[in-house]
Amino acid sequence: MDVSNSTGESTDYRVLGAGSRPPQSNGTGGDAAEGPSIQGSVKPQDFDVVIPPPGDAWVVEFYLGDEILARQVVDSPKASVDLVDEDGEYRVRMFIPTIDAFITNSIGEQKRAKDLEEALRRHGVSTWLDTRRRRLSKIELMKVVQDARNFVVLLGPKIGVAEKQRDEWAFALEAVWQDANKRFIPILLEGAKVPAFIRSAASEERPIVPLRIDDPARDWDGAVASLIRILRSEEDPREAGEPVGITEEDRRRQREWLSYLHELAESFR
Amino acid sequence: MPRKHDPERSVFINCPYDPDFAPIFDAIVFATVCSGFVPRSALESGTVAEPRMDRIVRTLFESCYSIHDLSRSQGEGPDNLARFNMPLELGIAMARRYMTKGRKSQHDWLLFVPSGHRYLKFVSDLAGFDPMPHDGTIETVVPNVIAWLSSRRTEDPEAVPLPKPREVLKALPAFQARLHELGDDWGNVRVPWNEVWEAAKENVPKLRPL
Repeated sequence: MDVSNSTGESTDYRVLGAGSRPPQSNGTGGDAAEGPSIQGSVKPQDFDVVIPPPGDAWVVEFYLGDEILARQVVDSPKASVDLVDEDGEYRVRMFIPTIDAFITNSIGEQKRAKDLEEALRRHGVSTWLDTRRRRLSKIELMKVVQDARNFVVLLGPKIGVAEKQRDEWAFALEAVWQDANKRFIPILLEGAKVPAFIRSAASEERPIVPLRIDDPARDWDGAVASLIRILRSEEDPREAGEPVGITEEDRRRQREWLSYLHELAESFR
Repeated sequence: MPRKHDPERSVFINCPYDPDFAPIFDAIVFATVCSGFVPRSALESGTVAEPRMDRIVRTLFESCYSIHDLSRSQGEGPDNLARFNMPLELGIAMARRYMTKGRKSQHDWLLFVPSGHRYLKFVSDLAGFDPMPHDGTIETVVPNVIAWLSSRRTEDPEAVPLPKPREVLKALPAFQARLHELGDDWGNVRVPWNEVWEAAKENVPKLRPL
């Protein structure tokens, strides 16, 4: 379960096991919980990955000092629970994805994408991989993207892309920009690099950490196991490696681009 | 000697240019520059010696990408006539796509239509081409443009990560204010297109390391 804090203040949280009792409320006034609990604190615009205590349902409570800011009954370990401040009123926004992993791949990696999908499904991870011949309409694709929480992008060393993938990536990028609960997880095969469009989605709130498979025969199983833990919210993606983001080289290229535009404008005077 | 345009960085903008649509037009132009592309338009050449259609075709053919908006293709005015310039230029872009099919520089276009499926009634041949519906706000158009352009350069190792839409939307009013100033400076004459590029360039949000 992801516990995130979209407010401007650090808050403490507590996840209480509700035993086997089903939750009787979906709002903030959940029942008093029983059983073991997990406590922690989460900084502004940050998140924690929490493995909830045993049971079928939990109550997540956010605190500031002794004051309870908001609470939420949760009945899915893959839920993302986010404390938000709306005009001075705290509330919890919860998201339970229909699709744990929307899989998309560069050209030439279809077989590995299918292998990955099978492996994830064997472990109870819900997936979506477009293997249809018919191209989805933009509206249909947008709907699938909205239902997904993670966008697993399988990239080979040569990033050839078909139009279908371009649409998938454009919509996924928009979805990640709009919803801090969604994230990209790039899988880099045989030295592939993280393309700029994925780095465009990186933020402090949702760092992007690629999983690297330099030698598929050696690294595949380990990377898939790590991916499954991340998708099940059992592992913090930040533990899987170094996050990617804007580099000095990117800033230099942006300056070059702006200077090119200036020269272009000057030459038309 | 004018610096040459790079077609792979050129985006032909085929959108209404009237006061009501101006905020969206400006947002598309600014989002294009923020995405690392040069917005191109039939407005960019001030020469009257070149016929308008020649200018349009030349500029469009010099661009690998184009963005079209059919929001104004509906009856208006006392005669309830629709404007046909935009569908005409879309048709040229579609022809260009067929002409360049299979090439690295194959033309690609993004088509905005008003939300709903009204467009199918007036141009049913577009049904299979899957336009992008928008609700007429800059908040939906800006992310659409940035994400679409970003996903066109996925193979380019020189591509730069883009500013996030919220940063672009935050910087947009300063760009619009600059355009307004330029409009005052130029009076009744349309602001030269290279001044529009400069105004956009001055306001592009700088990339910041995380």
